[in-house]
Amino acid sequence: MASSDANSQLLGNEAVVTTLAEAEGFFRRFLNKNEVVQDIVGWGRAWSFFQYPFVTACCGMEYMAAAGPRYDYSRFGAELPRFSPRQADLLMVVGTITHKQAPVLRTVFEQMADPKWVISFGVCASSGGFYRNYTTVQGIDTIIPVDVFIPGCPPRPEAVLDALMMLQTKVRNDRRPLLPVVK
Amino acid sequence: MGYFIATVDSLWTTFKQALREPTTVNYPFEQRERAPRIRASFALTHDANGEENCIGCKKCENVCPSEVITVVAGKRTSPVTNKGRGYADDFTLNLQACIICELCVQVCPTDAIIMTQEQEKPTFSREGLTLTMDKLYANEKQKRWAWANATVLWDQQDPERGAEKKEEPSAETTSSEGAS
Repeated sequence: MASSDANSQLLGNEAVVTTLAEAEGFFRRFLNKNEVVQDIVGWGRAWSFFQYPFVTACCGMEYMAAAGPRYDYSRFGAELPRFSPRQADLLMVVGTITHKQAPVLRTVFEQMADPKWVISFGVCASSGGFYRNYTTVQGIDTIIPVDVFIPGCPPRPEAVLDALMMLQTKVRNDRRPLLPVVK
Repeated sequence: MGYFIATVDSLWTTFKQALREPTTVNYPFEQRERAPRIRASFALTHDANGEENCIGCKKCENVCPSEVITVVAGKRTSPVTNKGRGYADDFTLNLQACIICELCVQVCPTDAIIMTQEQEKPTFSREGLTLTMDKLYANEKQKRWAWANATVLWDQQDPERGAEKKEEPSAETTSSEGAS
């Protein structure tokens, strides 16, 4: 003990850094494990989706109807569609994805910053729909992870709002580290 | 002066719209009125004796453009009539790729499969979108039925369908007359 005290006195700078790192680690662990903090962050994420509409087909009309004044998904905080994946955290794949388009979708998904979620909108995105042929991706979950699948060809705007609410519950109960823990 | 009037006019329009009652339907708490002929999901029906209508003829499986219906046909003795008849041992409708075209309803010879007015909920997994036989029979009681079944649709498309067989020779004579 005495020797370690002597060392810390001799190498004072190092001792200070060690305690700061310890404090920082404690702070990070507190943020990542505290339920209240996680609840607040989850609430904020759930009610402020910035979606990137990857609209490729006719389901886009229902997407517009869901965005329009009658259904108005801005009531759920998902008001602003961002037309850059780097600013979005919710990818809505709306329509048929062909094999030529699959790498584009994959790139768009990888450009989005974490945390990110994906909604598969309509049957063509979910499973290829009735395009069971060599041009169509048989479900986008073969190339990117999907959180919510909406059935329907096209789905009604009510189903879109249902999916948004389901995703909100999922995001609110999501527990992921807010800050990376440094050892 | 014209610019001034136009400005005031547009501002007045904006003012009127701002004070108007909003058209938004508060969805999870209230439903928007739907079209009377809306069709969204599926159900399998029972007849008046409480017996399953489906006879496992696989017509819906063959007509389905997305090939999402799977019927496993079987034969059993009916507990009501004590006669052998066909049943569907298993009936699966996969909503993953269903395009809600109503063709399966149109071809059904026994009005077994019908459509309902309420849509299925979204799911977290692809497998959750599959409508199993239990779900389809539960939909019969839980959901409002759509307006049509096979009989109604056929009566609309071809009202004299039942009389066709009796008048077959006369149809031949009319066609020959038309040819000559």
